[in-house]
Amino acid sequence: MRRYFQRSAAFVTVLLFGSLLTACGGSSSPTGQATSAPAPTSAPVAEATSAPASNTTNLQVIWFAWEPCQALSTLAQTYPDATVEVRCVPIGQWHDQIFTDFAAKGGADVVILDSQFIGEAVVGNHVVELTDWMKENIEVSDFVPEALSAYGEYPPTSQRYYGVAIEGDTQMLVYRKDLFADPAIQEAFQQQHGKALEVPTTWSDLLTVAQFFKATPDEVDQVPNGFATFWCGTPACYDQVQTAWNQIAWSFGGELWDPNTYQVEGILNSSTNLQALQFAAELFKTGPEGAGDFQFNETVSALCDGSVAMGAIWFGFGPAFTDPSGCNQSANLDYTLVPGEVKQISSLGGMGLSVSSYSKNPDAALAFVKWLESKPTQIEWAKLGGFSARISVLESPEFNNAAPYNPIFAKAYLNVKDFWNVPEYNQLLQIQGEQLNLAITGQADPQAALDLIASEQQRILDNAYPDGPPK
Amino acid sequence: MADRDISSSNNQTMLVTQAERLRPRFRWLSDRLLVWLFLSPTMLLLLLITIFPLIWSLYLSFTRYSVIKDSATGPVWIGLQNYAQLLSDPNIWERFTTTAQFVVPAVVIELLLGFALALLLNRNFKGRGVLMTLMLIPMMLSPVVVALFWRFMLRADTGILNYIIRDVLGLSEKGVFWLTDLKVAMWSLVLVDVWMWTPFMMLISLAGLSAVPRYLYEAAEVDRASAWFKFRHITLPIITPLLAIGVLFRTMDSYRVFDTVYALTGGGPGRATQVLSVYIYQLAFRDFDTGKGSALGYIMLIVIIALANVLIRLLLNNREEA
Repeated sequence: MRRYFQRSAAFVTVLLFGSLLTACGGSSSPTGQATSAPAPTSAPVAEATSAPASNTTNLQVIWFAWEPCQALSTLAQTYPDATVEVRCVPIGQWHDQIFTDFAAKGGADVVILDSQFIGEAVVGNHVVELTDWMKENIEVSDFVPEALSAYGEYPPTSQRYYGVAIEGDTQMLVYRKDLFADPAIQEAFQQQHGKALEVPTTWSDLLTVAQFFKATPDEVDQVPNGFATFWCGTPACYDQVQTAWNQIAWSFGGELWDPNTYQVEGILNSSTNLQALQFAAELFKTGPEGAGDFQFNETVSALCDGSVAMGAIWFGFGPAFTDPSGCNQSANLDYTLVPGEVKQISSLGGMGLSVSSYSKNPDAALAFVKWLESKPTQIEWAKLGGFSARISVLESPEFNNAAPYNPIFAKAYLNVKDFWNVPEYNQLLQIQGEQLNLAITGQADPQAALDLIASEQQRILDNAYPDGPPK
Repeated sequence: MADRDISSSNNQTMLVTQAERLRPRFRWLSDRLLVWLFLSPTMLLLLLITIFPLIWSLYLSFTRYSVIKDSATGPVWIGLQNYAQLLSDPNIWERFTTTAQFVVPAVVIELLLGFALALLLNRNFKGRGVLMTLMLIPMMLSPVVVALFWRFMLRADTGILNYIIRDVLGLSEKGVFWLTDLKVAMWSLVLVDVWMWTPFMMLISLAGLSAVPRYLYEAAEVDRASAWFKFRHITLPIITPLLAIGVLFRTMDSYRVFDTVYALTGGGPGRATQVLSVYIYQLAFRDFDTGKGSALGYIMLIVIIALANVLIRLLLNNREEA
């Protein structure tokens, strides 16, 4: 009886403490582990000279899951001075994961922030200032100035940098070259429109061609739909419909706001933007049925499985098209600039590398950033499908030969434009995504949608900056 | 009997002797202390993971605080301002309405369907066990997994449902835009929830049906009662309390649904399926308005407590009448 009591007591005690240890033990990744660093009152500044990391140091990088993240993971394995883990999280969780980690004063050592996140990260002192460090450790003059500014400078034009460009990006038009070269399709188009079928260079021409492919029977044009892109507007889709439509609006001559006065009403809901939104609604009708929730994957699939003749997507997704095992139409696809209209403008994409203020290995993280931004590593990055922001790399034969769309990238990157990166961008983004999606899918009146976006965004900015834009 | 008494008495004597031997070593270990020793790890966990966050978030709900922007300054006490702003914000009432538009149809359909399935399965037939097991599978899956594969099935262009509607039955040229049509998206969510949780209501109903005494039906048959009479006056009164419990559980669960909605529609199109939980996530983890997010969480808690109380009161009243 005594032995039974002892054994039972020992078993229960072990079970309870085991449960306690399991519950208290964190996950294997550093996410959520709070550091003991106190909250900085101003942004930590990187030392101009950083000590090299030992190769027993572990670093973590966080990005969202897409082809360049896989490429970075491959490249990071060649880094000699530390063990680098690259976490690729779903795009819907990209911002939330990073900033939740910031709130817990932990997370990855190196964070890859979208240009929109910079303001929010800087205002909260969550990333290290790199201005002086960059002068000593990065060949700043070799970088595309717009990239340096968009991916790391805050406030805009302040010459204070919190990130270094790692992935330049903008959008390209992917099209079925076999269809454009097909004599029967050429003839059919000629009969309908009285001109030759050519790869469109204006949005108006693109709509005409897309409508042709949508309306023409499949036995003639071999494809059921005209055009696809990522029209999704829910918060989980982040900035997809917004960046898809912004470049249309800018090309038509419209603007989103006045960055000097933070004025939105009267600018966003202008007649030019109305025209652009009505245009987008017409363009949407040429795509697959129910494409209102199309994201990047669906756009890639539509092009690869042959259900659309054309699509607009980020250069970063290029590797998805060049792999024949994953893309049925790989051999039939070609690439060009997204169209212009009154102006030739495409949405700026891409991201910069920032060092977290809560990194336990800030010197090692800076050393990794320096290595990653060096020209030899950037050449390797280009070979893996990455898009450098270094001018010398963009002009190199290694970059231009790495993928069929790379020569187009350099041209496209000359005419890019970004939108607001203020700390309130998330709220601005959400109302824009909801209403743009409804208007484009024909479920809201375009003028009413633009008016609602403008009034809501004006209210958000007026509440955040009652005394006007920060100086 | 006498032998058993002697043996039991001997055992008691042995235990007392053992206790006396251990007493000097463990004099300090009273029964109450021993109980607390065993309970303390669990209590500590509960305190850290449940009680402390509850109290801390309640405090934050009375402050202006963003965990991202205000980490240096900390929370600033503003009293009931967050609650006042939220309760006077038409967006919040819209979210309540959206949530009700999901909860009411989902729970009602699950109740009716679950009960009907239970009536069908409340008899012995070959393969009953296998059929029941298969029907319980949806309930055992992860909500995110369910939402993701339903996303594929509900795709307007390549989904299986539209393939059947459009290509097999020829009912519509374009099919139904299950996830992108303002009028349909919420019903798609209800469909997925009903698919997943009807087995739960079926189980509850089956438990109730099997508890109805057989002799009541036999007595009714002797009096030549109709099937409807038996159902109305025997089955229903006895099974109602259990159904009420099922409705209570499903209402509470549906009211705080998050993962299914987030994975399936993300709250879209527009805000058509943006239920309260999704909106709280938006406030707390995208806008990082920690104070307001906490306040809305408590408003939601108060509403569900009130709802649960109403249902429990109905249940108790029903029991008293019975």
